[in-house]
Amino acid sequence: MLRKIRIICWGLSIGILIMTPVRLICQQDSTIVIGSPGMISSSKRALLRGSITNPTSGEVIFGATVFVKSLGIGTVSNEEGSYALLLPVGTYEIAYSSIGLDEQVKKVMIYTDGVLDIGLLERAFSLEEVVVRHKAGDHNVADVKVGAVELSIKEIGNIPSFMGETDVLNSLQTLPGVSSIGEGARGINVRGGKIDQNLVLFGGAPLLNTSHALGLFSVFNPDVVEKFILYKGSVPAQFGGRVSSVLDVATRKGDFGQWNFKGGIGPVMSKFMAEGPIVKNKTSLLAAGRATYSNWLLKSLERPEIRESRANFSDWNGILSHKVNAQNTLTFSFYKSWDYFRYAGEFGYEWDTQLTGLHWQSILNSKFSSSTRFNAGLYKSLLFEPEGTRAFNFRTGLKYKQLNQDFFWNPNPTHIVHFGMEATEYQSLPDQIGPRGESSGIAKQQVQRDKGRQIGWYGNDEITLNSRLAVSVGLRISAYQHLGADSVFLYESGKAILEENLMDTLIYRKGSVIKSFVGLEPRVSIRYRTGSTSSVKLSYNRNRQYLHLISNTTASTPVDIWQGSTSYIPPQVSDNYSLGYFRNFGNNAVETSIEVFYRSTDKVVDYKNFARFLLNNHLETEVLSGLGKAYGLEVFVKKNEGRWTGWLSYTFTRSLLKIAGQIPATTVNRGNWYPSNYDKPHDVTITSSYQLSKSTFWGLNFTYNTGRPITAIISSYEINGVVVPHYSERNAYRIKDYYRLDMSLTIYGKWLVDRKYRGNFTLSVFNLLSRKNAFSVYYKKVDNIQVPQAVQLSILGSFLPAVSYNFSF
Amino acid sequence: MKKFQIIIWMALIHFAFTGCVETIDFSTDWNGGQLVVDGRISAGSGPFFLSLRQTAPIEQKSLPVSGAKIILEEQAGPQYFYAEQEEGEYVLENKPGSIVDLKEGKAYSVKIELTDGRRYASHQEIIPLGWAKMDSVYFDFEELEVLNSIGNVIKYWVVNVYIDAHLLSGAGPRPTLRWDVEEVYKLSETDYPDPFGYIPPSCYVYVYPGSEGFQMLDTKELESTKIQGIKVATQRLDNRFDEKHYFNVYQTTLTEKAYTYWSQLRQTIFEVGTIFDTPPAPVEGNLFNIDNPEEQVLGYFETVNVDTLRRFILPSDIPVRLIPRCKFDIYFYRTYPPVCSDCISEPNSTYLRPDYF
Repeated sequence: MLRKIRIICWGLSIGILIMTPVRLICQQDSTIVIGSPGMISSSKRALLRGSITNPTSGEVIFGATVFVKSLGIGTVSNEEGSYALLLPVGTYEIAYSSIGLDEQVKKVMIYTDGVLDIGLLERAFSLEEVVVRHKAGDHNVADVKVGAVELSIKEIGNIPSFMGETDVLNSLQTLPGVSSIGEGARGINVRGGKIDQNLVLFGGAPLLNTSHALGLFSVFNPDVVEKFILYKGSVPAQFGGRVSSVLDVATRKGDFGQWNFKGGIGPVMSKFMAEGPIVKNKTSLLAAGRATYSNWLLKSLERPEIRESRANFSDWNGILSHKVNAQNTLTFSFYKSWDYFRYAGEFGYEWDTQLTGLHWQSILNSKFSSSTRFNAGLYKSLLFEPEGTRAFNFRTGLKYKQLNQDFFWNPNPTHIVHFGMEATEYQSLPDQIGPRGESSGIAKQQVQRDKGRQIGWYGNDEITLNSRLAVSVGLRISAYQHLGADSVFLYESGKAILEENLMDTLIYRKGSVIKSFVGLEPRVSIRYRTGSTSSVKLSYNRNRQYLHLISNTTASTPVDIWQGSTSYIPPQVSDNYSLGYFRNFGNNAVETSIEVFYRSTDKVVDYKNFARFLLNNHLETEVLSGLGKAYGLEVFVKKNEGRWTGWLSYTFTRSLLKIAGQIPATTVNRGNWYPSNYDKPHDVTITSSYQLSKSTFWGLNFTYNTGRPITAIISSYEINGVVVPHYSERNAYRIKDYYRLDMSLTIYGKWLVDRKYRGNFTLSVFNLLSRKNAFSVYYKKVDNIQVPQAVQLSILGSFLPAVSYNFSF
Repeated sequence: MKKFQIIIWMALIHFAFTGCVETIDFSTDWNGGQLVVDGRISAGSGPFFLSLRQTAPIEQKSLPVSGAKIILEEQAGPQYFYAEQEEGEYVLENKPGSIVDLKEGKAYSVKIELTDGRRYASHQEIIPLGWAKMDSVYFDFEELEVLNSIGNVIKYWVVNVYIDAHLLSGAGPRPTLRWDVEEVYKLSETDYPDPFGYIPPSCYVYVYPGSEGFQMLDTKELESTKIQGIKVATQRLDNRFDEKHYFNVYQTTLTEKAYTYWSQLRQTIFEVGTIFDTPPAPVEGNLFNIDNPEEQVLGYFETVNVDTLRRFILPSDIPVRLIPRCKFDIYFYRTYPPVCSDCISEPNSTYLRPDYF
């Protein structure tokens, strides 16, 4: 092991030395001199390259303009913030600019190839400037990807939010095609997909849990997030492992120039972030944390079971970035989140998520760069019964190690190539149960879980062929190996996989390959401009998913089990088709789009009735494999400019499953198509922000969607004196439709303008109409009626006001 | 500004997380009528009952199924016959040459033929051995708080019933257990003063198991062979405790399959609370239609082993002072509820004193 580490270290060192070009830059008065007259090449041309960043945030700037006024030529920075310009030897004034940032003009005397990094500062705070766009105004029309949405924290900052906390996942739900099962449900459902069918990357590392407080908040601290992109239609080939979508949440780097601080105080949560240089312009640190103190609120409530309940969470981010030289940057990141939830004396959950990452970015030359990541992730959860003789702790979890090598080749601004590979090793933690407290009589038990290795090789070429046509073509080859040591049960040939058909057990040694899967994942996107402000886009993706979140509840719980593919639980494979028409109006002031999509998924996983997952070493007998299909229509209208900004989205989606096994016990709803738990056909969202005055913004959010499916009582009978409700087929009925109106008022203190210290109050009202939306529907005995009645529980049954204060200095 | 802040904070405290529960109507179309079999046997001579009913629309009682021919078969052994006692209720009858004598460790199944010719059967079940014995039944009392339908906190006292038990040494596989609690309390009519010294009758009122839930345990979960502190019932202290009040605890050893069935039933009835619970589903038992395996047959024919232990509570044991509903009070005029002059009108009551009372 030590030898391996040494080899890697030597490799890295040599790599850095090889890839570090000699920099010959000096400054004469205000003129930057690159090279010397004696070094002029025979072609008398020199390549100027470098990176453009925002020194305040550490973010690289994509789409910044580099323009040589005297020659009338220029270029734009790529996704890595890099630019390259071939110039005749000479002296030039070069202008670097980007929307929302101060322009910088540099006088450059260039003799040889050289590097010039530029930092563009944000313009002085101006209340007139509400929307800061870091992409071209018509990016939605011009981009070849269909169904890709990119938002920044600034864009979602004025959306009314739960308890006044800006939230990535809750904001995504205002976009077409994105929903959740309901308030308090973990994760998001994208275009009718299950929550585990979304690959969620946080700082480039796969995240296995996205929710705090059982879904009321997401785990992303907005002060750490730079931007987030949701790929729900065409997914570039560099992403893989999930059949539905990819959410790529990019994190910021600490400021290399100066120390900055940000914080916020709310009724149930506070946060603080500090960032700054450890070595100026060389090494920066960003450290951030959030923590709740909601228990005072719970204790003050009248409902006894709520008063006895507890909910806490915290999360911590640390990002250390070091510029080795102009071409190489190393970033070490660490993330940890913790949640605790106890419902009175009945049950509780505790769950932890950890990510550790090392990222090496290297610019190999003006057109070629490399990104190497090593990620390690851990998710562990605990289910407990706190009191009594049967009090227990049940633990489960998953950890992984991942190596990702991505190469980025940008031969010209209209041609972008990504290729590379990704290898991930998964190891499930053993399921363990044990006593909790001295009075518990529960015995200790443990079940070993599976291990697997996933490898993907990919290449993606995005090219603009002419002024109208752009194409993105990609191919991913993915493979998965189920590894030993493990026990594999054998079932009677030709019979259903049931516990009673279990015949024998095969024991595999550590490291042996038990089962292998391999498959091709082609990806194609085509954009055709039908005019200067409109385009039609088409895409097809095949995605394979080797890791499944096994759940037997309506909404995901923290103790749902991550399970790798095995002989009995094969990989899910989806074919995704999207077609969209995009059109902007008023010089891109208004964006519109209409998209249709269809996804068919093979080997989708659902649970058997009364499935038991805890301490079960043959999960294959508890799950069912079948077909899934989702289709729909998305309409999106977004106003970007003016005092009033916002968007309207409408989605029609159907999400259906079909499980037709050999026998009734392995069949759901007699083998017919049935709606998934998250099938909500109609979904409308209106989100807007209105600038009332120079310092005051009013935010509004309205959501309506069809009630989710439910299995309902259709008749009843008695057994041994117990009245037993008899249920319908799975998800044959629906709960009431959902709607909610939220508002917020954000006030920036006038006295803070143009000073370093900035602060704002946000007054928000969640569920202004006091709509009693169903958190859950269950059955209980009401009064003297023998048969349980359907009862709707609304967690946020009334309007919920909150005041929060955010500051930065 | 300060006033405004106070209002905001007050509102926040008041409304935050103020969830509410309301009944909703799904307007489900009833398409029931499925056969429901509810029968159990144990070792011995009985009496053993079996009921045949059909599922009913919600809020209606299930419908009895009469006129069925029912046979109990012992594997490689004799057959026994059920006779209809009342509509839909059948009892295993002793006949000359067919005296009921069921044995532990033997496998049994039933065959049912309805008047319309449909034929049903159960899978074979073995009468389990009684590997667990109850040691004691005991109580504690606590004051509970609940929020009523209009949002007020109501406090009341309850009695919790616990049992201790143990697994017998030399036992085979660890048993799966269910506990049902039956209550029997004495209800005496008001003894008004009269010149003749008339003593009004007393009734004995039964609260049958099942209506308030049941507890289950797979003893394989346990570290030791001792089963301690299992809470088997919680009952509100009210006028049912004016006089002697018995708790009869039945500890039933179940077969593995029956345990699974009752676990699923329990889950269906009592554990369908939130979106974090397993969604409910029809519970399948061990019966099937011989001619049409696709037909859904509900219920269970179970073979059990039952251990019984009982203990009573006297009014003097309870920590709260109840005003007896039927006791005559010479100083204060009050109206007595009708059961105080006609105790037999109380549902599930009888004049017949149980022998243990």
